[in-house]
Order: sequence, then C-alpha cells, then structure tokens
Amino acid sequence: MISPELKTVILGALKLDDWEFTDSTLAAEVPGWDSLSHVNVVLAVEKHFGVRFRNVEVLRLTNVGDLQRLVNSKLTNQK
Amino acid sequence: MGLTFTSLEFIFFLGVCLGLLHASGRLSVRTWLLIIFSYLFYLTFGVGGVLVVTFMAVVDFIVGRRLGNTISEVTRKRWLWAGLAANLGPLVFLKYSGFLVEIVAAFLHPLGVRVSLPGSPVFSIIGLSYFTFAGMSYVLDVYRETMEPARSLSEFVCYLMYFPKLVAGPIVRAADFLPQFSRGFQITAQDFEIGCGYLLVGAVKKLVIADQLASHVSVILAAPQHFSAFTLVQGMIGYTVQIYADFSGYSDMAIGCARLMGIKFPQNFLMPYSSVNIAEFWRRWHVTMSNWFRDYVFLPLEFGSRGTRNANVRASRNIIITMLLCGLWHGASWNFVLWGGLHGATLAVYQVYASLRRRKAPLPTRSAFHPGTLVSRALTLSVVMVGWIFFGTQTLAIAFEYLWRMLTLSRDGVALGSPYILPVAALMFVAHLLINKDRNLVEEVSSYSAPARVLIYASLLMTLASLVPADTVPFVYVHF
Repeated sequence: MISPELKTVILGALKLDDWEFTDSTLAAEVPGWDSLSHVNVVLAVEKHFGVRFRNVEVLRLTNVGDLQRLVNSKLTNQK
Repeated sequence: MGLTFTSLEFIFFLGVCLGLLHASGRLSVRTWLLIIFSYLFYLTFGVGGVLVVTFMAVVDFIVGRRLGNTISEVTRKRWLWAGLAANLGPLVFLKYSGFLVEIVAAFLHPLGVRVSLPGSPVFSIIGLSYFTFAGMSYVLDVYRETMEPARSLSEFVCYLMYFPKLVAGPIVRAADFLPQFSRGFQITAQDFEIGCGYLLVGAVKKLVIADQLASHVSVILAAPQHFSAFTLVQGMIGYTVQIYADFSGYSDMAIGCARLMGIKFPQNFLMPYSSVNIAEFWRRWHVTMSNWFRDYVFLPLEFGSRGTRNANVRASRNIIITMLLCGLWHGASWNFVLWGGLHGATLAVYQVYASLRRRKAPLPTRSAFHPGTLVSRALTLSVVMVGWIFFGTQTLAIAFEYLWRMLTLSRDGVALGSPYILPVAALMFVAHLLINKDRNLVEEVSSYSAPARVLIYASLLMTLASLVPADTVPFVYVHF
C-alpha cells in the first residue's frame, strides 16, 4: 500500500495535482513521470524522508510499490 | 551476403525450422535445434561473427553464474567489469578502432605527427552492436539482481544467438526472453496468425515502401549539389519514410518469426512520427534501443551525478552524453555523432521546458486533428527529418551542403519530380492522422471476423505480389 506521505512527495515532484497510486503502478502510467523526471522524484523522496538510496537499489525499482518498500526498509534501518 | 528476411531462401529456412521444432517434443531438443539453426543463419554472414558471438555467449554465461554465486560486493563488481569488458572490447576494436585512430590523428596532425589510418572498421561483423548490447544487459541485470542467472549454457546461447533478432534486433533482454523458455516454444493458432500477420506487414513495409523509395532517395542523398531545394526536400521526406518503413518492417518480421515459435518480442516502433514532442519520439522510435540507453546509460548517469545542484544542468548534460553515445552506437562516423548530438540538444531543451511548466493535471487526450497537436507533430517531425539528413548522408560535408541548399532554396540543379516519394509520404501522413498511435493493428486484426481477416491478409499478399521492385535493397539497420 502506498502511504499518503509518499504520494504527496511524488505528486509534488511531478507537479501533478492528483493521481491514484497502487503497489503495481508503473512510472510510465503516471503523467510526466518519465526517465527525464525520474531522478527528481527519487531525490525528492530521499530529501523528504531523510534517507539515501544506493544507485543499484534505485535502478532495481520496477513500480511504486518497490519504492514504498525501499523507503520503509530505509526508515526501519534508521531506527 | 547473408540470409535476409525478405528472401525466398529465408522463407524455406524458416519453414524447415518451424517444422522440425513442431515435430520435436522435448524442450532440450528444441533449444538445440534453434541453436543450430541460428548458427546456420549467422554463418551465411561470415565466420567472424559466429566466433565473436560464441565467445560473448560463453563469457556472459560464466560471468552471470559467478555473479549469482558471489556475495562479496567487491568481487561482484570485478566480475561485472570483466563481463562488460568482454562485450565492449570486441565492439570497440572491431567497429570503432578506425574512428578512434582518426580522432587521435586529427589531434596529432597539427603537432606534425602523422598517423596512418585504417579508415574503416577492422572487420564488419553484422549484428555486433545488437548482440553486444543484449549480452551487456544480461550481465547488468544479473549484477543488479533484477534477474536470476541463466540456468544452462544452451539456454543462454539460444537467447543470445536467436536468429530472429540476431542481426538487427529488437534488443531483447534476457529477462524478457528466458522466462518464455518454460513455454517450450509452443504456439497457439492465434500466435501463428499474428506471427504471419507481422511477417506480411513487415514485408510490405520493406519491399513495397522502403525499397521503392530507396532507388529515388539514394541518388539525392549521395549528391545534393546536383539537385534543387525542392528535390532535396523530397529526398529528405523520402528518406524519413524509407528508414521508418525499412527498420520497422524488419522489426515486424523479427517479431513475426519469434511469434511463430511462441516467443513474444517487445514492440520496437510505436508510430513514432505521431509524436508531439522529442521525448515522446524517443519512447516510440527503436524502443528497445532507447530503453537500453535509458536503463543502462542515462539513469546510472543521473543517479551517479545527483549531487549536481542544478537539476536541469545535470539532466541536460546526461541527456547529451547519452544521445551522443546513442549516435555512436549506430556507426563510427561524425554524421552519427552529430545526429545523436542534435537529438540530445533537442531533448535537453525539451527537458528544461518540461521542468518549468506549472502545476498540471493529466493532459487531456487531444484529437490528432487539433491544431495544437498538428503543430506539435510538425515541429517534432521537422527536427527528426533534419536529423535524418545526417543519418542518410556519407559525410558531414554532404550533410551540411544538403541542409544549406534547402535553407537557401537553391534553384540550380535538377528538379526531380519523383512519382513515388510524395504520394507515399502523403499516404503515411494520412495513416498517421487516422490511426490511433497506441493501437497495434496486427494484434487487433486477429480478433476481427474471418471474412475481414481473409480480406486484409489477401490484400497484403496481393500488394506484395504486384508492387515488389525487381532489385532488392539491403535492410538499412543491419549495418549498425
């Protein structure tokens, strides 16, 4: 499940008013989320949650659910 | 030289291969049959390529196994670099050594140092760029742990050498191909029909459209100084249609061949000339290649340089680097580098424009006839067409002469009125207006009623039978 917080961050990074995200949502399905904006989305997520992703971790992401799980694991490791 | 998809010999070859595949029960037998047929297919292009691809397949398989069995990150990285070197080494040496020497010579010449130039690639290995990239994607995907290593060498060799995609793509990733092994090359009646549909459509695009245009266009591209601006514009439009029909036709035939064996290839062309901006063009043109550069060059560059303060500077720089490499992938010549640079610059400008746009809702889908859409498509296509001049001419000097004569509306030279270029281009233009760019007609047709399907396939066959030119022209993209 995608947290409202993550949803807000992604919408903000894409300058999008609203979009329904699910675990299986692909970047290609979201308006404006393409390879040109992808890094900006990831950087916004890192900045908001105060985490840092390894390059290989980000390159493994296939959908928004993967991103949510990655954020959760980073936050868990920080505690 | 080499077996081409549009030859009668290939139809016979494919028929025998399919017949034997269908007659074999076990997956292991089918795998080895495909390996043998792929080797036979590739041997028609020469022995050198067979040796290179065999070497790469063995090395990539070993590297994949090692990456799968190794835990130490340091060791895994070493295996990754070894795998990439084993793929890139032959590519750089065989395809780019002459070009690199040319660049070095250009630097040293003002210093009075002369370097003798081989001038051209050491050996011409058909398909080298394609299977090298396929191999690298496998090594990188296993390293990133987005896929498991291949289970057996035969399975991996079958993937890398699979003849429908060997010499001109699509650049199919192991992660997409190997899981389909479990289906054991079984086909359904629908697979058979769709496969034949792709073969027919591809053959029409190649033989009826591309080859007919080639004879008119090649003369103009080779010597623009002899032609008036009006003729040069026709040549540019003609080449734009030719290269699309040639390459998308080839891809269709490759997809069709694979579908006849129950293997689904990704689409490689998604009506790119309907794009409303350059970013969309690159999501629709040679999709498997642009996705490769996106996943293995652009995104790693982006994440590797995310410390750069200004996001637009970072993205623009990485876009241009990626597109220059993309241009170079097509060939060892400044024409291709400049072509890549033109697309890179346009993409970078678009990227900055897109980033500055205010908060937006999802864009409503506009009709293809909407004035805004028409203008956007025209602008995008204009950039693409100018790029094709660099792509289709032999030297930069010829390309710049071509552009200059068009820009200055040169009236001297021959005004060649081709009876073919403009009518074909007009037909393509109308088709792009009427057909939704996200539809796949070949797949759709298989769900139509039987009479409609018979009519469509018969029309395609009759078109082939009546409009195929006497001289065959090699596929353009086989040379990359």
